[in-house]
Amino acid sequence: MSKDDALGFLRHMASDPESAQQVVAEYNRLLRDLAREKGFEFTDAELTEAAEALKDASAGEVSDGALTTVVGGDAVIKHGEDEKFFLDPPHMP
Amino acid sequence: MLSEEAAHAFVDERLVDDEGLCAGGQGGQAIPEVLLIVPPFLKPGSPALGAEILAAACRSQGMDCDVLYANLSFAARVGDATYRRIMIPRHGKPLGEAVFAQEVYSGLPHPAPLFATATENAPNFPWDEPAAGERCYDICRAQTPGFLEETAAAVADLAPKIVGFTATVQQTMASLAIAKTVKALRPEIFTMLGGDASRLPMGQALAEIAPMLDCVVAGEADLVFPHLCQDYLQGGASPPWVIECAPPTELDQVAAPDYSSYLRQLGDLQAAGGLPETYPNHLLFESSRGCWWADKSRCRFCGLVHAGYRRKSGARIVAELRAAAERHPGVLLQAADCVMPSGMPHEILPELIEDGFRHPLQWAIRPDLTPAELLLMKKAGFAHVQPGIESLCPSILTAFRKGARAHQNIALLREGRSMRLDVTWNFLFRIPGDDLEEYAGLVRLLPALSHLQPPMTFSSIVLQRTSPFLEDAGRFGFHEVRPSPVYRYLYPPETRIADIALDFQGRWHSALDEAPELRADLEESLRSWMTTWRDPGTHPALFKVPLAGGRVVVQDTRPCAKEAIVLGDAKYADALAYFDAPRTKRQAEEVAGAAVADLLEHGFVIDWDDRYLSLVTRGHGRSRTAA
Repeated sequence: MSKDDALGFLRHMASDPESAQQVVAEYNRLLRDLAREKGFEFTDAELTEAAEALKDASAGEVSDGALTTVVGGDAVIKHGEDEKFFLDPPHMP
Repeated sequence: MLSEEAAHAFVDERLVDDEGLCAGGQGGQAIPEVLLIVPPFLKPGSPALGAEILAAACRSQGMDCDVLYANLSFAARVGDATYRRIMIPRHGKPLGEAVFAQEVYSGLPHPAPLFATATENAPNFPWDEPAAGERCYDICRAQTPGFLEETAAAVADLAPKIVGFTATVQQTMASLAIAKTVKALRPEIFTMLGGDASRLPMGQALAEIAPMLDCVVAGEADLVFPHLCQDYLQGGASPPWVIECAPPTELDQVAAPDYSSYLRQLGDLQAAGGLPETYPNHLLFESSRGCWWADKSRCRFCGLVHAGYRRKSGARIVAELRAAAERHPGVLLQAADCVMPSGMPHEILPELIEDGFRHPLQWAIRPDLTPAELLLMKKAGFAHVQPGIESLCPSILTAFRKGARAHQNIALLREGRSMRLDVTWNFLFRIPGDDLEEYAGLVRLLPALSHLQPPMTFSSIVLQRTSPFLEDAGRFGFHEVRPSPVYRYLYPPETRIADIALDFQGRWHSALDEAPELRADLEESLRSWMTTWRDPGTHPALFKVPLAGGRVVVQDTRPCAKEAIVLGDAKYADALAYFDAPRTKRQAEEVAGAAVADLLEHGFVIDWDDRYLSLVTRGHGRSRTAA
């Protein structure tokens, strides 16, 4: 998987959680290839667990990203359903 | 008109029947003997902590005291977006002060030079579009006469004996303008001004050009102000023209604020559609004043600290937090402290967490908090931290006497991402004695940090009143220091500007001045990092997930990633985890051995500030936690 593909996965996960099984299958395939390349031994169950964990973590990165969008001033900025305020940092120019 | 309704509502709530005034209780509020006014441009999303503390202190002494949030009615008049655009003095340009200065003093030059803002060093500020300054200024100016007239009329109707103004950032000129209008209607009302803008020598210089003020109170007036008012109300002598207050030494003696006035006035304006329903977006509390670090070693750029460090007891802080969380469910509680008291997380948070407390909290912290302390904060409800990161350059942090190292700053950004904490920080550069090689190294380093939260702004250092850099400018390489020219748009020519100014300019030599290409590269790298984080869902990620058998998988979506997915054996996982803490080169070679080269090559570990440090955050699987 290229890094662009991986990033695509992240976005995909955030927008379409129903495709989770497809994503897990893709991660499973990637991990299997990597494990073979490295000479690591994984059981099918371990691979699936790892793929699930990667899927969850990727989805978490996207959803959490929505909470940590950088905004400025003391604004309330709308991002979809989320609203975020920002507080005056010290030493602001 | 909306603000007129609000002003009338404020008065009407205190007038209950045909027979005149109500002394409080059901159906109305007491007519205040002391009225504290919060002028524009305090942010509308939260109440004024200082004014509310003073009001509570006056009430505890038996006086009728209320707080009039004139800033809210002005925000409703000009529109929330316009107000917010003006309220923060961008790049040292206090446009909000200019709005009201034109009402206070005649003959001031037109403040057009304050309109322009440098958007390029804050690309994520949403309202800094070109011409926004002029447009918002014009809107505010058009509304100012009506606002002053109505506010003064509301004050005159209430007929308090004393009117006090709280002036912090960009509130001085609005205070003077309201005081001038009130005095024209009711010259017998005694007018006072206090707040950060009136500390000495600023307060003295201000008093000399503010005949509409009867008294300027300098310093922390928590204990002094109620006695001044009481003496005056009881027919004693008027307070002196300028009075300097000794700060309270025991903060547990300071009254707790009551935000009901703010919430009532806000609610009235929201009901009329004048302000967003999202307000209040935070409420303020305080656990300390001053800075405990500054008592050891003052950061040389910092102009925030004025008095010695004092803090409330843990029991008092816990009680205030519990009460505020119960009274205002879900509303962020933001500490007004310069910095969180040392050891605070372990001192108070376990008790709160054990009792089931989980409430949005925000505190300014030092960047050397441990992951364990950050985790406690996260569990207690912290979503945002303000860690006092001003640079990632080791030599600049040393020159600042910051007491935190660059690798600690980066580690905090990493932990913030791992724990889903919003980390607010700014990047300062271009100081005397800075190091060109270090800047060049930083430009090479920044792409590896793209998954960590970027600074909100970046800028050359600003000289601020009371900062060691200003107070001992020559020693630190600052020459020809003088007040910022913006003050000529605010104050009459006879003003002692050097005593009233907050921001100063000067000349100094930075290595970057001789390397414009490097400076451009640095600024572009910072800008790119910031804009990458503008949209949710596109932030680069670099996280690890532990696998069976002690193995690890790392996913890397940074633009500089060598591989998107890296699988590591148990030794590799251990080596990566070893660098969660900063390590010396010798430690790295002795403990992590052969894995180091691979970790460095992938940019999972960096060699910066004489330390090797992991940049990899922790992934969050279903069975895993933020810890």
